[in-house]
Amino acid sequence: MTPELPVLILIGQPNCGKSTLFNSVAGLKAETSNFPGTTVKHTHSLVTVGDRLLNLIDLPGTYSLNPSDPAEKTALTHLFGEKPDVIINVIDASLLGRSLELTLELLELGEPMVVALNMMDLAEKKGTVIDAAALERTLGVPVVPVVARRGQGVKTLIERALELMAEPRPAPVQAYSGDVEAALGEMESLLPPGFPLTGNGRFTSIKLVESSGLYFEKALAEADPDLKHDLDRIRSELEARRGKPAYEIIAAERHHLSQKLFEDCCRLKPGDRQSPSGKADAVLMHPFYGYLILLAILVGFFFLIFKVGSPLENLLLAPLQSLRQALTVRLGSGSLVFHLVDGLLQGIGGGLAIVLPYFIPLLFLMALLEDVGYLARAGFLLDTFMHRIGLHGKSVTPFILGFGCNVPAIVATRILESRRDRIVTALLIPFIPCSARTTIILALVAFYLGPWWALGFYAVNILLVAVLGRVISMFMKGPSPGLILEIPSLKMPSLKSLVQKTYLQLSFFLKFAWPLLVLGSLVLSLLQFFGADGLINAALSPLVVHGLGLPPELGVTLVFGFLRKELSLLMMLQALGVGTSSLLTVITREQLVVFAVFVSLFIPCLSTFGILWKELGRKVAFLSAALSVGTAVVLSLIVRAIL
Amino acid sequence: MPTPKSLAEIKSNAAVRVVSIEGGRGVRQRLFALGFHIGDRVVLQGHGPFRGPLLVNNLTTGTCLAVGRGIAQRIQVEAEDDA
Repeated sequence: MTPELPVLILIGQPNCGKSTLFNSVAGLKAETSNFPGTTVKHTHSLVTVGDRLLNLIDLPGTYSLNPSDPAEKTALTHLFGEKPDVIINVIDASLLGRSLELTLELLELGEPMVVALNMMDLAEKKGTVIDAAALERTLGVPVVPVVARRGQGVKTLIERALELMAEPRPAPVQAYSGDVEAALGEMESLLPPGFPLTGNGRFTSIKLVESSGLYFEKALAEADPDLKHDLDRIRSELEARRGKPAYEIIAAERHHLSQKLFEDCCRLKPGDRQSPSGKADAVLMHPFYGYLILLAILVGFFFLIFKVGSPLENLLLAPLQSLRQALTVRLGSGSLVFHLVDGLLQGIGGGLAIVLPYFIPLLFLMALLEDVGYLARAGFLLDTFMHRIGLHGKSVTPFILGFGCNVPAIVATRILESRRDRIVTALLIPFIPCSARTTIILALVAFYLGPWWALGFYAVNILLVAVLGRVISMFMKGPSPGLILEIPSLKMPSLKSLVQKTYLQLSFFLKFAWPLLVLGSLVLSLLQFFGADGLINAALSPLVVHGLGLPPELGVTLVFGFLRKELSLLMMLQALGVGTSSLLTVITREQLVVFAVFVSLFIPCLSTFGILWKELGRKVAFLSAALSVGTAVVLSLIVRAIL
Repeated sequence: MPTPKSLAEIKSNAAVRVVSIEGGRGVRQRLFALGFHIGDRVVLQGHGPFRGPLLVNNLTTGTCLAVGRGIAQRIQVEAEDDA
């Protein structure tokens, strides 16, 4: 057993800059974003501060400790599971009044805690001057002003946390109104010793009183029916006195307490307290210009990625091509050595010359959209359209993330409250062209047929998502809870954070996906050498040749597309035995489109299939696969018939 | 006394006070947690076209929320007394 490391846990409301703070302490480890719920998994990091090794944990953002979506449940589970030595409560200082409500809830735990007042610069812009020292005195826990984006105050924050760890002081109690305190006190006195489910007696009592029908109460009813009886009595007495449900009484208590703290510790500069994004938002979410901007962003990104990627692709392919020719002459095209070397070259070179030129700009632009805070705005604009396909604006974030990679997009469906919405969204995500498919579309369709073809391809793809959404919703009815979505203030993205994020995603590709590409190319080379590819091609020829009208050699490439979508593209050139410059001499433009359509849609890739299984179960994963194969066949046949 | 109206019926850019929030516990608790309470001063900033969601700025807590029309209809507000 290794000695237990001190555990510091970061917890805060969505979008409070928790992950930025985490990054600034931990270096290039976690992902940050300006959208509620993008960190849906918790992230661990071992960091050295001074001469101490610490275990730093970043939890998904949570608005309160009464979770309402799966991402918030994750936060709560880990808060109790990890047994933190110190809790670092990260607060968006520009939303101090609201953020303190979670702080009060956390204080109820009675654990050692430090408050990180993040985004002090934004708060000042909004005209709020916060007296951190006064807040510290009132709360009774250390309060440290921080600007995580620029690394200001981070060192002090960690130092104060370490001081607290050396001399643990439990957080003091913040008292509610007399009648509520009386009810809580009575409840606490009835709890048998050692009963607390979590935290301490007071925390347990508060949760029992406020969360009727939830997990806490069910656990209690099973453990001690008499106590449950007392709880019901205490709660109904309180409710009768106040004429409101208990959860509302406690929520209002916290609200008033935090407003009071806010008023006591803040000075508002005179003038209009308009949100700093107000003017920009009037345009960004305008009923006409808003959509124009949304469209311009999507089309602009597309052309930008193409304009950056395609010259790079050309530039990088040329030396690769000549290297391959030299090898053919040197090794002879029939030898095993040539096949091995060629397989390696295709895999490594293909990844470098065909995938990366498009992949890197796409990652960077996605990171930009997230960091600025545009995703929530897109959710607002697209809410109406999402209702048409049986969802609402909150599903827009997972969808847009899907353009980067379907895997985190499916994980991000955890921000949706209803399971039905999660399933419908997750079934549609595999139809969103991810970066791998964007590569296929750009490197194949745009490269050979021109960017407008590729743009048309995208348009059809998005239309397909809409149609499928409509169809799936017909089968999966269910009340979708209405939209409640926070619109965070717009933030100036920092280049450092964008680069970090791009790098993180890229390193994931280099570590996991690229080796797969190389391995796939190598296997295909060997299959070709031993003539085994013919068998697979023959088996698939009814579909490939008769159905889709493609050359039989492409059969084997489809099989590998299940591993990584780009693999089909690289292997296509390899299987047809041509270089990129002469592709159109062996297949027609129509065949190229049909191939691109089929490969894009025919099955979620292995990782996507895996994450669907993990997040939503086997049934959903197989349903998704069946849906993809069916759609791909039908759509390819239609495309073939039209062209 | 001003008569309460639903949030979906009021004019943009005038501050109003939240009088009541109806609806299921899930929705109400969510609104509370996102910094939207009874008694708060809010401003309707705009709405999405085609019966889209409403953009509501909460002057008391400083948060900005997009709220679907169905939910907005169950939030009663009244004009400020001194207005």
